[in-house]
Amino acid sequence: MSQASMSVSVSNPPVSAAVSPVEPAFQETVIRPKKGWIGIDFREIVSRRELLFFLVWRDVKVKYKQAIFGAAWAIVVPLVSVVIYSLVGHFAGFAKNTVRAGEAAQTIPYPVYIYAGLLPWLFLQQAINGGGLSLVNNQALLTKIYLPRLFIPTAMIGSALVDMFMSTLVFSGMLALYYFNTGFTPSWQVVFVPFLVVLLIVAAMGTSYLLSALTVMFRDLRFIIPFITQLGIWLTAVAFPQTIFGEHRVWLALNPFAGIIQGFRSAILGVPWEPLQLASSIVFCSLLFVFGLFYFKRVERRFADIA
Amino acid sequence: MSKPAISIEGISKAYRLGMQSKPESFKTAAVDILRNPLKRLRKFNEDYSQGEDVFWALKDVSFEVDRGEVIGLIGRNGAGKSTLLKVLSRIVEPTGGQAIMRGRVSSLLEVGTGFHPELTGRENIFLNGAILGMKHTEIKKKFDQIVEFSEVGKFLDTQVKRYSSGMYVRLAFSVAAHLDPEIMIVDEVLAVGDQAFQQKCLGKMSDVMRQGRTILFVSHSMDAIASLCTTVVHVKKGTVQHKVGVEEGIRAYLDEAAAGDNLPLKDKPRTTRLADHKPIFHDLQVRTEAGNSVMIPVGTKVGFDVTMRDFDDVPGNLTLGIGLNNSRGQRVALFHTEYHKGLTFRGAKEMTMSCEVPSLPLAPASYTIDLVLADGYNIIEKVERAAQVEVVFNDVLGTGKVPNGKQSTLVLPCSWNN
Repeated sequence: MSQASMSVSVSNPPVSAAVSPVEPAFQETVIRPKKGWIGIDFREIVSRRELLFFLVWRDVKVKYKQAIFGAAWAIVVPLVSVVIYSLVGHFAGFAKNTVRAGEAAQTIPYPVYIYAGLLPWLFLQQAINGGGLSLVNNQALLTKIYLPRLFIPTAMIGSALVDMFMSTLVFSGMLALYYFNTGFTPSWQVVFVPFLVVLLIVAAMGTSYLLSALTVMFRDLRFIIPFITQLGIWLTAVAFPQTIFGEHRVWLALNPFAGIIQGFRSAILGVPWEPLQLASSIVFCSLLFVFGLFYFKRVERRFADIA
Repeated sequence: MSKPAISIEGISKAYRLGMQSKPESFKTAAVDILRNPLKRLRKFNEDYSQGEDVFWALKDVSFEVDRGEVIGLIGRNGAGKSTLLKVLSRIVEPTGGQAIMRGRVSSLLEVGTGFHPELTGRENIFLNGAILGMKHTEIKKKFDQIVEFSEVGKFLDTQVKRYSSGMYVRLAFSVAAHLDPEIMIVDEVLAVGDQAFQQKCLGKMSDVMRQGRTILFVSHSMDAIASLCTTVVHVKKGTVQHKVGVEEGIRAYLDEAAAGDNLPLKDKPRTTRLADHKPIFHDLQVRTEAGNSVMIPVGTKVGFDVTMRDFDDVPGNLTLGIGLNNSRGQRVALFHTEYHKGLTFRGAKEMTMSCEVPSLPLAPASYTIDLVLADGYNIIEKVERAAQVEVVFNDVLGTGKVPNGKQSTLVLPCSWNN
């Protein structure tokens, strides 16, 4: 690895004859200005992984500590959203469009349809809002101590994952309820969900890294990010089926998150896959991840000067 | 000979003025991006060495710290001490030069970084420990020690936001004090908490010191510097002179701190009754048992030599007073020719008055010296802060302790019975 790209290098100096044999091998840290694109210090990330855990734990703990309903909010928010969007769908007449075709043809209960898209979406929204603002909200961690700064937005994603897990439990309960009442069964393709979760996390990380770094530079993003994620629920067709766009829904391929959300519906409910959207999501999100990560590393050295 | 624990070679740090504190507005940035999309990306590589709106917080700083050395960084506010600590802690990146740290570094620039007010004391110990770089098992192992040291045991399961500020600081420092680094970087964090806890912290630092750790320590308390450090680096306007002994370093610092920037006495500002007269006070020497010095051990002999010139034209019977003031500006002692010796004198071309104090019972702290030349009750010339001296610890009471300058002005003997 070139010196220029890796300026904080940690190495155990070889014990040579010149050094007295009793001297322990001290970990050597070199501090010097960095140039260009900076690599990621994986050793450091691995050695301080406990810190990441503690940051996630802190966020989860603090979030529910003072609330009267505590962790129940992680359940209430998706449930209430499902009820609202279902009612909207019902009165606006989208609800009838959701039928699974093919062998296992059955009508998909509309609330289940909505929840299947809301589950990944709420995670994305929370991870991007929280991750994007994480650096400006934790200035002391930037200016008073050194730690792998990537952990700060990453921790917010971890905390959003915890909430998504809770939400998944509720969703499972809901599926069970519908199974006993209407006989609705999820698709076998649900086995693809882990793959979609990975894609979702990659998307959240890339976006959070990029936005958190940008927010340090441009504070206006503090207001823009929540606004965009609010709009996203419409632009990503979360609150209603994509079919209401008719033939125009091909344009959703331009939205890197649409393919993931629709993928969750396809996997869980068995509605037709949207290969173009999914492919676009995979490509976009991978690029976003790589770019977000490297942009973060590139401007990281200036965080403490600006924050 | 082993390698030094810290090697600093030509470290510089520049800030673009107006840049470090104010993030750009989105509007200007957006306009910039539209005009020249590539320029913004390049900006991060920009070289700081040109241009006038650049402030060099550190300029070509080089020194080495040996293993086991406790080195004090002293200097006035804004001299660059904290910036240097931040560079060495990897919080900010240097603009030039390099530093090599050999060993596990932990830095304590603020007590309680990452403490969350909503969490309990117990939870914050684990969180803060992890932030400072301790492993979970390590924190568990030291948990009881940390709690005991902090004296907040009873409130361990209370949210930290309900703590008094003293408890908060005690808990925060306790976590940090139980880190086990090979190199420790400490900013002026000891200036918090009550007196007793400060003593305890200093005690803890001495323990760490005895274990052969390397400590880099910033303080404005010369008492703390004198009692902990083995060497001193004097930071002045972003540059450092080479490493010096504690006494020499403190003297350089006090010289700088005293009123005019390191001016010799004859050039210091003064109040005078005589219009257009040459300065009379010319020189002041402080003699201690160790020779000419600004560090006076408690309860030891000290002498002042005041040289005056060109006052043969001043009529009347003159008196000279040497006043000592504490850091709050209160006069704590006056040595006066007339009061102490019934002595008045006449003006002369040049004259040196020597004053001997057999034992100075002031408590450890810094004191400034005022010189007053008077004619009866009328002041002829007065120089405030003519010099600054540091009274330092000395085991006059035989117990290894003396009250410090915040607890008491004087250190007087007494007997206790029960």
